[in-house]
Amino acid sequence: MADDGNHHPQGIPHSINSNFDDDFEKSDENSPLLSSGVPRGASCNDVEYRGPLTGCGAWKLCDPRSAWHRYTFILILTCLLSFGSYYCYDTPSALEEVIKDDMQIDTSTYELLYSLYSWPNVVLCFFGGFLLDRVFGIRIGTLVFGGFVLTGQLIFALGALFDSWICMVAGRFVFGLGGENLAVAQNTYAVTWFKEKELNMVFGLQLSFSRIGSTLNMNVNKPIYDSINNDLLPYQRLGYTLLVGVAMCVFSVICGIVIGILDFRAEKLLNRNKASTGEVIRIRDIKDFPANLWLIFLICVFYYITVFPFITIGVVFFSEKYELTPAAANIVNSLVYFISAGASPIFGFIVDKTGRNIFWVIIGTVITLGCHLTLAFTFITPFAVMSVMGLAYSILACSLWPLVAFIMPEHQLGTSYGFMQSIQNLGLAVVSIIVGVIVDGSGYLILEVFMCAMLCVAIMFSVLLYLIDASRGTGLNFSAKERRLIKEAKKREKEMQTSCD
Amino acid sequence: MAFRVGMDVPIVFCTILTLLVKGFVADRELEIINKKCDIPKCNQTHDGQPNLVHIKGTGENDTIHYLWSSIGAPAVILARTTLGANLTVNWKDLLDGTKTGSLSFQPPESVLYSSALMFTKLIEYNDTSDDGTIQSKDARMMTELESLTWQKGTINSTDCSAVLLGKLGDNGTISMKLTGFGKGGRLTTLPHLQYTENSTQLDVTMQNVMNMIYTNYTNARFALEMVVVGRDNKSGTVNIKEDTSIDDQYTPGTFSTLNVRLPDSPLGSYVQWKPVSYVKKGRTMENARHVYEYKLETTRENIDMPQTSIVRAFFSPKEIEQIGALNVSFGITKDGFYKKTNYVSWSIAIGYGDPPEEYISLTVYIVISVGLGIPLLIVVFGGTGVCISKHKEKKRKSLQSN
Repeated sequence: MADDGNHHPQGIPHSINSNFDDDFEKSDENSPLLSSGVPRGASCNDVEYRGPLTGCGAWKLCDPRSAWHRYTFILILTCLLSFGSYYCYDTPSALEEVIKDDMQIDTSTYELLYSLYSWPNVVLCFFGGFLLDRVFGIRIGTLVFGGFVLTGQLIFALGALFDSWICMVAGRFVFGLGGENLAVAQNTYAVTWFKEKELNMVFGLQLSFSRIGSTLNMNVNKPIYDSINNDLLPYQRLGYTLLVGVAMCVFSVICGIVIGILDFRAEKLLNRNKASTGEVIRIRDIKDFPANLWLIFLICVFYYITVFPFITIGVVFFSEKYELTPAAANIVNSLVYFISAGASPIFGFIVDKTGRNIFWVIIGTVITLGCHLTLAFTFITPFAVMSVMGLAYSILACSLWPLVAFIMPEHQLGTSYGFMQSIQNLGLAVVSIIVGVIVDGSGYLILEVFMCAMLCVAIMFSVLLYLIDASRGTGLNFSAKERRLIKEAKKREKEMQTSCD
Repeated sequence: MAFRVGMDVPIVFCTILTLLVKGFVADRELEIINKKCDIPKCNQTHDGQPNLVHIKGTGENDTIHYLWSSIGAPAVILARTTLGANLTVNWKDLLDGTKTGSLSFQPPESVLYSSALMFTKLIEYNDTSDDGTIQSKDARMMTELESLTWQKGTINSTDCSAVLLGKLGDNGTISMKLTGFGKGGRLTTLPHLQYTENSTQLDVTMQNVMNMIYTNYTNARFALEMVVVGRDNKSGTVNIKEDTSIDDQYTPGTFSTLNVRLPDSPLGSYVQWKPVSYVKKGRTMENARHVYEYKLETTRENIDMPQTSIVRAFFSPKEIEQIGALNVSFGITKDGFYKKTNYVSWSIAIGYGDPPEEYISLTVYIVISVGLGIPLLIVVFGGTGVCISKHKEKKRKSLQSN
């Protein structure tokens, strides 16, 4: 069967390693031949339609197989899919003081808005990913999760508008049901359309859009609130401000509908449905997840906990240790976000061009370790250190996430990404607590040492991943050239098989 | 500063050495009393005992005295004397405008060193631009601390501390707690300042001190003016220095220590603090706010000495050769101003000798070597192992193909 070279990989020579199946690459396309090697579940019998299309499809822009189509519609739409959810996610933090004053709540109550989002998502993502694979399918799934996000934000906004705190909290919970899962759906869309092509770059670009979403949120919410008619009651002004977020969510849902239609059309036109294996994921498949997938999850957790929990408490560190003004400390603290927004697509492109994802993962982790060591033991300007950390984070993010698509068969992708997100959420939630305890009790130096130790663990896992990959020949660390050669060999082989049928 | 770590390694050994040596230095025997006023004036009124707390730390060769009083501006006098010195108080003169000479050690030549710290003014300022600091454009109101009414102090002889409480407005209080120490260490509460057998800690807490009636500032914050005085004129003027360290293990989130020194030979005295205050009773990092310090004024003509204080009773005006006045303000940008909690608390250490330096503790070195060393070793050795085995495999393969 077509999907996994992972389970019994030892005896499979590279040239027929089905990880590098190629049922989706079009011969008439002149996009760069960058194979990332994703199983698509094709076999000799399942051949995608390759002939010319009529009607709109005859145009490059409308032909689902064309790079034009991918770059214009699909790329933009996938990126915008979760724009609304990223914009809304950080709204409470952008309006923290306003919410506390207008709703008359204290800090610990306010924090419910985040904990009611993050803790349920420790498990929700996993089930969301599974539902995506098993029940909804990606198109309906995207709309369902997008709908949760929209409804949640709407309840949240109405709660403010009618001065009901409970309603607001409930809204955040509903929002959480969709938020992270929508990101999983977004990843799955990206894989469906861009695997074996520009997947690393697309992941990078999605990352930038999410960062742009949160940055926009951080900067516009307060001005919007301030610009709303002063005669209204404070909580009504808050409500109207939050309704802007609802508009963003509506926009994202529309994007979800359009991309769903385009995906459906592509499937019809290209006969893609037949090309799939028809396999479905079962819960017990999880125990068969290959070791290198678990390693990827672990690298993901141990890396992410050293970046984001640190940033949440970074302002005090920067302002006190480097004697920066609070404004400057805030800028330093958000540098990782800014830099990664710009650098992710670029690094994604470079990783696409070079391949060797595991090396990039190791490089990203080692550089981040260097940054944390510098922060811990020197007084070198944090502007430089945090910028470098932003670059390292971009490198890691756009080389690590696509690895899952290299390993897992398509019908398990949603579950895999959901699982990854779940574990990441768990790690972030737990470590945020640990970080607070360490800083309160022992200070930032010890915290930095803890971060460095976690990064060392991540490096260990990355090296282990490299070793396992090398010994089992799963090809995660192939260079772009090797991938291309394998793909070409594969294509020839398939043509031979087709002709023999 | 980047090379600090390298330099600190020998410091660890030095510290261990110093600790060993310090073990031989005798701790001080502590004694705390409120000097009893025996003149009729004090006994006439109910609660008429003025606050004059005397903490005496007797060592093997000398005695350190701290005189802590709210007669006039609240002040601490630090004196190192020979073992037999006696404190004499002329209560009549002391209560009559703190006349010079009303407070002294007998015999006079027993005093080996003396200096003092006074809190002179409470400054309420309207931080219109919300930058935390006092700007010249900010409206301000000064309260002379000598004009406050001070309650009878409470003395706790178990931990050798005395609390003086000044009343301000309807329910505002300034509480100042002085704690003496017989040996070195750190208190369990933040900011965990270092103390020695030659130092004391002073905790200043200002609660509900906003002056609603006169000022009604919307963005009110507070600052304190401190004045230090010393006798020596040869070793240099009062100076302030900020030490920055990579280590914040004792005071999480605070990386610097400020030292105001009054140099003298062989040893002078110091006032030490960390630039951090706390806005709630529970001193946690969450309640920590930055403390800004301003320019140290050392020109005598520019400094207002309070009309009354035990400093005036102890030092004659011409004895005061060293002087330094300094403001500190509490709070930072966007912290919601003083009104958010109506509370701010801050700690300083006053001591004889050189201010204790912060050093990276052995625990930190152990945590660093274990937390970083082990994974790094695994990665390095593992990586080398992998490279070697790969190299060998390549060689074998090439031999086979040949």
